[in-house]
Amino acid sequence: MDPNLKVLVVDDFATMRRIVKNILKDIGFTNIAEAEDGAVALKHLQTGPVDLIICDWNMPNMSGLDLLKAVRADDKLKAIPFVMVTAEAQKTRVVEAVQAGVSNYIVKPFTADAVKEKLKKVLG
Amino acid sequence: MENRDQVQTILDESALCVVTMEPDDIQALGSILNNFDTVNQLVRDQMPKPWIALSSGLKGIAEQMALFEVEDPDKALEELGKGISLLQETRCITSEDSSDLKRLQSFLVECPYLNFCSDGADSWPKNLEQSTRVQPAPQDLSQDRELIESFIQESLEHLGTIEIHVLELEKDPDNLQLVDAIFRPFHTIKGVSGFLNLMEINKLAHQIETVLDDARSKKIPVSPNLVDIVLDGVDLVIRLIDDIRERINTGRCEPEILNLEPFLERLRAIAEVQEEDLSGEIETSVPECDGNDVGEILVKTGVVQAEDLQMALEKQASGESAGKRIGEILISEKKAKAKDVAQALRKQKSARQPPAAAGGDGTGGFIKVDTLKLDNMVDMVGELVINEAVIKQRLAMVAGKDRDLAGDLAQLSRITSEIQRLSMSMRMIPMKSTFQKMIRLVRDLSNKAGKKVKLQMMGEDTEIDRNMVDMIYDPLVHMVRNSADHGIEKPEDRLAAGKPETGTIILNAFHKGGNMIIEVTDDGLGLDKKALVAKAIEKGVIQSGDSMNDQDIFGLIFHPGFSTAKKVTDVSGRGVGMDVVKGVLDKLRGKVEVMSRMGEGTTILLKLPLTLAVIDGIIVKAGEQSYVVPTVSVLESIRPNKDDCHTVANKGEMIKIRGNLYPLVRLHDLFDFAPNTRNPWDAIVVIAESEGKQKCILVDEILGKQEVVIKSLSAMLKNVVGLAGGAILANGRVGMILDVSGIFSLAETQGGAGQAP
Repeated sequence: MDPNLKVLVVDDFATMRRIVKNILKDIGFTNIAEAEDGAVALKHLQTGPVDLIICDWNMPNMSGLDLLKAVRADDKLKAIPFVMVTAEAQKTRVVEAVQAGVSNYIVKPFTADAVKEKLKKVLG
Repeated sequence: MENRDQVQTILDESALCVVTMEPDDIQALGSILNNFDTVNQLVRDQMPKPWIALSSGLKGIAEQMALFEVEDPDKALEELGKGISLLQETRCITSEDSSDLKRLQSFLVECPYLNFCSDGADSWPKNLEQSTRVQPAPQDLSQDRELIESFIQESLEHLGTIEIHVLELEKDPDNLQLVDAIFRPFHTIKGVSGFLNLMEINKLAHQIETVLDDARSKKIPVSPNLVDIVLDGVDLVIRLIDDIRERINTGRCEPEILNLEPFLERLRAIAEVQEEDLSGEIETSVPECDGNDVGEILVKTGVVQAEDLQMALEKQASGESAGKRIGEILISEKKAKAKDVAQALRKQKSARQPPAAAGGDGTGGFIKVDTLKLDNMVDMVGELVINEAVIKQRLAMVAGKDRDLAGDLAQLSRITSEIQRLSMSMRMIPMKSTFQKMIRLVRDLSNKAGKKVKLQMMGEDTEIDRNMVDMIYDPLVHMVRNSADHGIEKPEDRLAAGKPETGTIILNAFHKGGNMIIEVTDDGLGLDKKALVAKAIEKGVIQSGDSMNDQDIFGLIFHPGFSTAKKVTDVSGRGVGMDVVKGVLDKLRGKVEVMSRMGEGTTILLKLPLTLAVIDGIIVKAGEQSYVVPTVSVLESIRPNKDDCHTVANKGEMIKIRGNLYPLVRLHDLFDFAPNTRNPWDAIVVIAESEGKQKCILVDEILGKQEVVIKSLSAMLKNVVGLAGGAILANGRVGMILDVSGIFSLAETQGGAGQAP
């Protein structure tokens, strides 16, 4: 995995963002941006290139699923790998994300290894 | 059979996809799932049952693969491929085609993954627990100290907002958005606590979340009981968090044993209780009691027998159930139902606090501080910051050679600026309460005028200096009044204009570029530029409107005694109002802008400094003195050419800048001191603006830009026109802050500089 890839971490809970960031740093990523909800993330995406999105599901203003749909509907953004972080123990919701074109998803709570493995799959 | 062609294309695509993909490629599975959805929709009634069963069955396999539920993904993918080719082969099937039907049926029976999907729905959470979830290894709290500390802080904030939302929910039980707003933070707390291996919190938050989810999906109603239980849940989570904080600080490893079971029991009970009829509120039939004892209330309401209560009390005293509440004991002994206990508790609560005190009383981690103390502190911190700047400047030379000293100084300025930030933030309060006062205003106004008006609020949490809140209230009332009274049309007019019957007024507050912005937007009539100009001419405010741009025209509404409303209503239209807005804004060193489009609506924007204690100023030098010109009033500063300086009869000295003439104000004449330069082309002019007028202020030089803390002048100097206050500058000397509007009027009365062009 190219450590210079720009990763956007989207979560409304700052602690969670830190956890994800720490894991990403462990894996070797250095270029990490943050956004506290889908709307902020979308704004961020429109201002500069991002190579990978790691996004929480439940957020105010704009949920992860809505962000995913918006990203996939945007010709400029739709190729960006999108990993959803979810604690949803509901089958239908995960399937919803899968059908909306999520690149992969991670179920909370997760370990650094689990994240690494998923990212490997997503980034090839 | 156009549909069949489409089905064929989609099936071909899916088949290709299956051949080329890895079994764990989520995105590919996603597109296969979408394909099956389209296929199933296309063929809905046209295909025989087994074909459709296979198609939906295969979708189930893809779903399970996406959920990582299948044990052998490669095998599943193979079966998926087989199924798709069978669908392809039999896509022309009719219900008479017995051989194809047989093939389909035998595949449905033989495929190992197809029967499994029928009961898949229930097995998901368990499956997830076993296979996908990897529990982090138990760990010593100190390892994640930093993370846990931020978790604690953030969770407490969240719990604070939960509490507020729950209380709102109590008043407005049908508002599912509130339930959602309560659900979400619990969900987050659950998620993060799971990570940090704080299993107790995780479990508790999870259970509360489940109940809230039921409420959200309307499985259970939002009852007072639910409100109580969530509030108690918040308390419990806070207790657990406190315990963790203590453990981090003391290094204690074993957690405080907190028995969550009674609470969880109540949570479980609530789902059942809710199904019972809640309309029979027992409160009316309850005899009044002194209300200090849950047990007593329970006995009086006939829920519990006196003997049972006695038994429970003994248990509590004997230590068998020590530390438990009496209600909890009664519930665990099955002598009382959770619902009844909760009701008794509520009764007890309301008896304990008089209703007047119940509202708005900050609980928990808040203390009330006299604002005067805060003001003094901010003042002193301001001094500290300045003093720090002074010392830094004094030591600049030495620090250049002494690295340690430079480091210490840098540290000092970090600390002081942090203290400054903190002390400022203490005086900040959210706009919310001010905004909320407008709800009632809009309601009353629209009822009175027979209009339909909806008030929307955004950014209510934006914080504003406490001292500014009260001052901003009047302008806001005027603006909202104007919008409701003049802006929004009557329902029939709105419908005729093709607008929704209900008008909207939007209040929005946000921070932008070091300013606080408050916007009042309505989708009403908008301002009529022609009418404004005509009115202004009639009132003698202007001679003609020819050379005026939009902003100038809209600015007319801020003139005293100006109103375009044809008739005067008892709420607005008497010409007082917008000039008040402008006056207050000037006082607060803010700006007001108007944007409007005829027929579409008006937005009035108030731009305020974040705080009143500090002012962003341009430091200028004139004579031996330094002055501070508030940056908001400065448009630009230039050194004019000699050719651009004119003396106009009856108007005094004027400077021509880009074709416009601006009157020149000589500070040295106004304040009577000897300047270093008298010729504008050797000095600098600062073009300042106040109340729509622009003038040039002559100064010797510009020293820089600085944030200064405003010190009010002593009583003796208080009445000096043209000075807004004093400030200590970075060089340690005192500078006077210029009051631009005062300077202008001073210049006008002294006859030095006349009216603005």
